[in-house]
Amino acid sequence: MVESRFAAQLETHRRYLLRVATLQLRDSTLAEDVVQDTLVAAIQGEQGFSGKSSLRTWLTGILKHKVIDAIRQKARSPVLAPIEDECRVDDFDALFDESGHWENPPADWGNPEAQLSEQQFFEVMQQCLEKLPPNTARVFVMREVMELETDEICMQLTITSNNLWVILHRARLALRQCLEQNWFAANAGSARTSPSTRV
Amino acid sequence: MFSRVFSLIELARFINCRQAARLLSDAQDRPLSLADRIRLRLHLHWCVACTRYGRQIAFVRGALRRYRE
Repeated sequence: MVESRFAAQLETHRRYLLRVATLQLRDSTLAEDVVQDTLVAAIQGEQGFSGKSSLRTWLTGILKHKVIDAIRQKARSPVLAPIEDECRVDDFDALFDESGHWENPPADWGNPEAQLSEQQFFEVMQQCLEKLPPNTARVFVMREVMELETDEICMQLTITSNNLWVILHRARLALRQCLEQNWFAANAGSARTSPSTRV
Repeated sequence: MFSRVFSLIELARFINCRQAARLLSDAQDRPLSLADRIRLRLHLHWCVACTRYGRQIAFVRGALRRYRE
């Protein structure tokens, strides 16, 4: 009985795990297998869950190893375009003018921490992650969601640290811009007229 | 003596927003050299846009951490 309650709790994180796995693997069947493996491992390893971290954090830790295994096994038949295609620094030219100033300087986000209590914010963030180029999304999620060290990512994906930094830089520029356009600017415009703020 | 003066000039060489944005991102993943830290600090002293950028990418890191919790 207790066991099935734990399984039911795990189930509520399936969608999150699937989205995070898909961002890194770009293969929905493989991602589903990896998530299934993760949930099975979690049920078998229930004793290992101390409750010190959240259940989701714990599951993310298991998923991390499963994703790395999957990437390693797929390394000889890469599904993604060469990672070098996403390492070119001249791609950033459009964001800056000739003298190196921002074409569209970052806007004032006010107090962004207040957004973290809104579920909808995380949905927009997830959508912004999904819009990143495939290798960029993979690397960025490995770094910021899986919290892998940069050396570990370089080793698993066989890229140089400089390429890694360029890709992370690209991800941050793009994600920041996407959040500004789809959340902060959108919210600033609708704040006054939104019925939910008046009620 | 000469080389010391030269290196001070080199340190104070201004960077633009494009370079500052790259350093702000790199600073999240590796320790910057002293020279880069000084250049970045000088740039941020004058530049509202890059100061915002630095805060915003730090916020994004925190938001992703929250997403996982």
